[in-house]
Amino acid sequence: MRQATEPTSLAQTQSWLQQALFNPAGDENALRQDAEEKVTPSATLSARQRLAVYQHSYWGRLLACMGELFPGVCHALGAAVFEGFATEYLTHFPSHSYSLDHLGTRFVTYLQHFRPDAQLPPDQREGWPDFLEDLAALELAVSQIYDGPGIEDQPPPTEAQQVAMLQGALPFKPAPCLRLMRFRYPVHVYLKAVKRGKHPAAPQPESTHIAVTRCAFQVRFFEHHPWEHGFLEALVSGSDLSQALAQNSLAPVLHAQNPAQGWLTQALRRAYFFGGDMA
Amino acid sequence: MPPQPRLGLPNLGFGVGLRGRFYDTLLRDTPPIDFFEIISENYMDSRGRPRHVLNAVAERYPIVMHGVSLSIGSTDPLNRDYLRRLKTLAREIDAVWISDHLCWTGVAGHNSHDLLPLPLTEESLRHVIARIGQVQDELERPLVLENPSSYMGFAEDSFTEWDFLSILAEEADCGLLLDVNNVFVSAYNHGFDPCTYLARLPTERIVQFHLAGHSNMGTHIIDTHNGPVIDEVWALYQRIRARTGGVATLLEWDADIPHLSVVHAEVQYAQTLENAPLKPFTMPRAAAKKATADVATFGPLTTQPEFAFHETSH
Repeated sequence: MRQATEPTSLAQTQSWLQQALFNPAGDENALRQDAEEKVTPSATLSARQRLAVYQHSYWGRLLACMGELFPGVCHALGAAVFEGFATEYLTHFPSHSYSLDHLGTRFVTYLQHFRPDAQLPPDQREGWPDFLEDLAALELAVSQIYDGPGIEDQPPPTEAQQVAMLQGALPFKPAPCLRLMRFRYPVHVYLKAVKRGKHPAAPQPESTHIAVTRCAFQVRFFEHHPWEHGFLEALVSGSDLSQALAQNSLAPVLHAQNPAQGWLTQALRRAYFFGGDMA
Repeated sequence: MPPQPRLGLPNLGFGVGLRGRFYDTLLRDTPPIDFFEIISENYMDSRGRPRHVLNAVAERYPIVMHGVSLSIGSTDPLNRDYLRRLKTLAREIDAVWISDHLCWTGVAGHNSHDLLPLPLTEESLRHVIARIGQVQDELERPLVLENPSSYMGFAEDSFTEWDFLSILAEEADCGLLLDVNNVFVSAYNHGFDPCTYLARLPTERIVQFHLAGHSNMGTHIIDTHNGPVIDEVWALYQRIRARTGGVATLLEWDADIPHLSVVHAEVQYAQTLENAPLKPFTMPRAAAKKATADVATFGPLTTQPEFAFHETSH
């Protein structure tokens, strides 16, 4: 055993180091003094510089992960501004999860609560925070759908099951990977362009209805007419086909132009619904 | 009674870390790699493509699990839900062993997602030994712990890292995952002799080796896993491997990841060293001149050690 200074409790040391990581811009004099007391210098780095390696590693890793989770928001804001948003988000909502995949779970909540015009009535608010919120919500859905439950290992409904679904004898079972999302901006178009390496301009506002789902482990977007979206929302919330048609005044257009069997085939191909029982 | 070599666990040969970059290749081909290691947390809750690929890989290759969030040194209570998920995944993919790091990742319910250093004190030693016992009881198998790379030491340290690890492994009756690159990185950062470190370890408890590249910043080294293994690390590997009589060896490559064939070729080089003459080893010294830079100039780092992260696609 080597000679050492008077030990502090392990819990105290861990609490101190974690605070130093989470608040690197705190009282620099106190941080330097604490570091010199608790951390040994090396031949080349002071105690404070060695602590800084961990501080920068912590923030560097988490900001890089946020950039991977929200490439669209990062593109829209520019890397430097995005880093500022992500830093503030992580300061308010540090990770409690064992997985980095959960790091961005509350980012949309953060954007909603901390937008500069949050106190104003909705009709007096600016548009760009709406765009960022919608884009972040879509990106969060994409990452959750990518690694969440899907229906790849489920057999498609048989022809008899499909007939029963159309007759209301069998319920429409929404795929667990299906999200029906309403946006104020066409953020799916923007995100697709970013992921293809393009540099799209921020879009104009446009009410947008899309389904986000997963086919063969690939996350996909499908844009809907508002009435089709409402019709799907009714089915997903448990209505049968006739109820869903009745609840959506324009849905008969769907029925007339695209016979129900054909529509169901398309919905199944898009992995909106499935036939079996999820384990 | 001394433990069996590798605690009775098999020498799996020469393996590679399973990363998203390799998924397409592994769904298409079956390259002659001896085993794969996964980052446990990337698959524990996955019900998407990562888990689909893992299931396919596990049908053809032995899998070992390597975690980054066990936080064995934390003063927070152990996360029992996490342990149950870890155990379930191990059972489902028939994992040969489960490893994590001698570190802590957070307190008060937080996770820094960093492998934070423990003060090497008697209190830490007793704390970690007791928790390893609880983890091994929950997992119903020995835990394998890796020496982390570290960038700072504590004034209150009363053990060397090699003594701390040796006592811990013996008293907790656990295995060791010896990351040879981490020994080199920490030796550079703290100024100790890596050969002394290796000479003092209980070799019969070493279950696995890790090899990786790193980033030398001059004044210190960061364990970035972003390139080939350097000659000095190969030389250390040769020396410790000869003393173990053969232990599963895995190459980690987590940033700027090349094609699987390149990573595979790098770990195959380890195999060619088996009967080769020992490479000369000289420990380089950190840049002699003390860094004068302010702490703000240290980052943020663009390279991220250790943690793999899922890629999404649509």
